[in-house]
Amino acid sequence: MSLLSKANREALVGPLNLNNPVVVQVLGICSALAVTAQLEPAIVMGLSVTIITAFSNLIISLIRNSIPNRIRIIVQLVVVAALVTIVSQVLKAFAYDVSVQLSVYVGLIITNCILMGRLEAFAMMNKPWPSFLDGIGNGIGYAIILVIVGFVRELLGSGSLLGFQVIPEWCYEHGYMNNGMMTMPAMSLIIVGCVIWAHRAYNKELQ
Amino acid sequence: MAKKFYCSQCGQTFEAASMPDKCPICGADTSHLTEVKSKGINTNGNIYTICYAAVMVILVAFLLAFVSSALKSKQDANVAIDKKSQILASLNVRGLAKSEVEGKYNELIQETCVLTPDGQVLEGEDAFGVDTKEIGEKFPVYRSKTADGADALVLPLKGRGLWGGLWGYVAVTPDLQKVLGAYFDHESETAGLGALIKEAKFQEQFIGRPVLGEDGNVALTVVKKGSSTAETEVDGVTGATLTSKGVGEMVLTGIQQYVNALGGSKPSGCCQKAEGCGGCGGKEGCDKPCCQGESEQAE
Repeated sequence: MSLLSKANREALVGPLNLNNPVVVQVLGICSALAVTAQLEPAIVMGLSVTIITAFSNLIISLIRNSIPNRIRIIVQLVVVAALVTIVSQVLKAFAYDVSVQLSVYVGLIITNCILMGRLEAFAMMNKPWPSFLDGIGNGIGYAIILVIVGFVRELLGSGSLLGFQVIPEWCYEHGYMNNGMMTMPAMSLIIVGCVIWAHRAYNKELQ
Repeated sequence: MAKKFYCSQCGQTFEAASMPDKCPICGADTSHLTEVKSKGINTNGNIYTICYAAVMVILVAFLLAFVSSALKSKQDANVAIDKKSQILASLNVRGLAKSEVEGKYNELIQETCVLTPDGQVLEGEDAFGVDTKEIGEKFPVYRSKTADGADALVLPLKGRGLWGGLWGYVAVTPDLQKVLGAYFDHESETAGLGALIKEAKFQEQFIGRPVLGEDGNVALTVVKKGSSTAETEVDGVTGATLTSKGVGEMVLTGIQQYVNALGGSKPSGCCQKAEGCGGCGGKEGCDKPCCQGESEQAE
C-alpha cells in the first residue's frame, strides 16, 4: 500500500472540508469559543490540537490490539493526557506568553471531543499510518475554523491581526469603532454559525 | 472450527462458526463484537486488564517526570522573567522584549528586603523568591528607580477578584505618600471585563495619586466609575464591579500593611527600619553608608 493511497488521502483531506470536525460534526466547539479572541492563540491552539490528535491516534493505533476492551477509554485518556501534559510543558518552556494566554485551555484539550472521537472511531480499528494522517487532517480541519474565527474576531474586535494594528488611525478619527462584542465568547458562536452557513451553502450535499 | 466472540455490550463471550450478524445473547450489532483469538493472551481477562493498566500508568508517570525535570529550568527562567517584567511595569517600564527585561531590572532595582508585619527584617530571605501566596505574612520591598529616575518602593500585593486571585505591584515614593505606578494581574477574571485590570489604561490611572487620606491611613482605593469624590479614589472598570472592588480592597488593605510594617504613621522608607537594606535598624547615629545617604536626602 502506498503512503498516500486513495483511502489515506481521504483520511487526510476529508476532515478539511466535507467531514470537518467543527462545522460538520460540530465537535470541539468549546475551545473554539474560548481561544479565538485573537489570532495568535487560535493558531497555537490549532497546532497543539493537530500534534496531539496525530500522535495520540498513532500511539493508540499502534497498541490497539493489546488494549483491553473494558478499559479502552481510560487507556485513550491516559495517552491523550500524557501528550497534553507534555505539550503544555513544552509551551511553558518555549512560548511562555502563549501558554499564559491559553492557560487552562491547553489542559482542556484532553476533553476535546475531536480527540476522543477520532481515537474511538478511527484509531481503534485502523493501521498506524492512516490513523496518523487522520489525526493530522482532523487537527488541521479544526485549526482552519479556529483561524477563520480568530481572524474575524481580532480584526473587528481589536482592529489588529497577530497583534499588529491593521486598521489605520484615520479610520478611528473618522468615527470607526472596534466592535467590543467581538471580544466576547458569544460572538465566536455566531461566527462559527456563519461559517457553517457558508460551508453548507457551498456544499449542497450536506444540506 | 468454532471461533470465540466477545460482545462489548453484554460482556459475554460465545462461540460461532463465523462472525454473526448480531450478538445471540443481547442482540447488539457487529460493531460490538470482536473475535477472541484462541492463541496469545486473552485481552479481556481481569488479570491482563489490571496488569496492563498498572504498566501503562507507571510508564506514563516516568515519561512525564522526565519531561518535567528536563524542562524545569527553562520554565523557571520564563516565570522569573515574567515576574520581573510585571515589577518593571509598575515602574512604568512597559513593552520590553524578553531579552531586555533582565538588564533593565538589574538597572532599576537597587536593593530588596523582606519585612515581617511589624517591620523586622527577615535575614537571608530573598524578596524576589517570596511567593505571592506568602504576602500578608512576609512583605517584600524593592527599592528602585522608576522609568524617569525617581526613587520608588515597589510593594507587591495580593487580593481576591471575582473568580480567582489577583496580584499586583504598586510603586510608591519612599515616604509612601504618592503612587508612581501600578501593575495588576489576575488568575481568571472575565475576559473583556474584569480582565481589563491587566491593561495599562486602567493601571495608569493610579499614577500620581496620593496614598494616604486625611486621617493618615491609606485611602487609595477603587470605586465605581464616575462616583469618585477624592483624589484617592480611582475609577473602576465598567461592568466589572466585583473585580474592581477586589483591586480596591487589595490596594487599600495591602498598602496599609506595608505602611504599618515600614513605620506606622511616619513612614520613612525601607532603609531606616530595614536592617537588611541599611543595617542600622533606624537607630540614631548610624554610620552605614545607605542610612546616611537616606538621611541626607531627607534633610
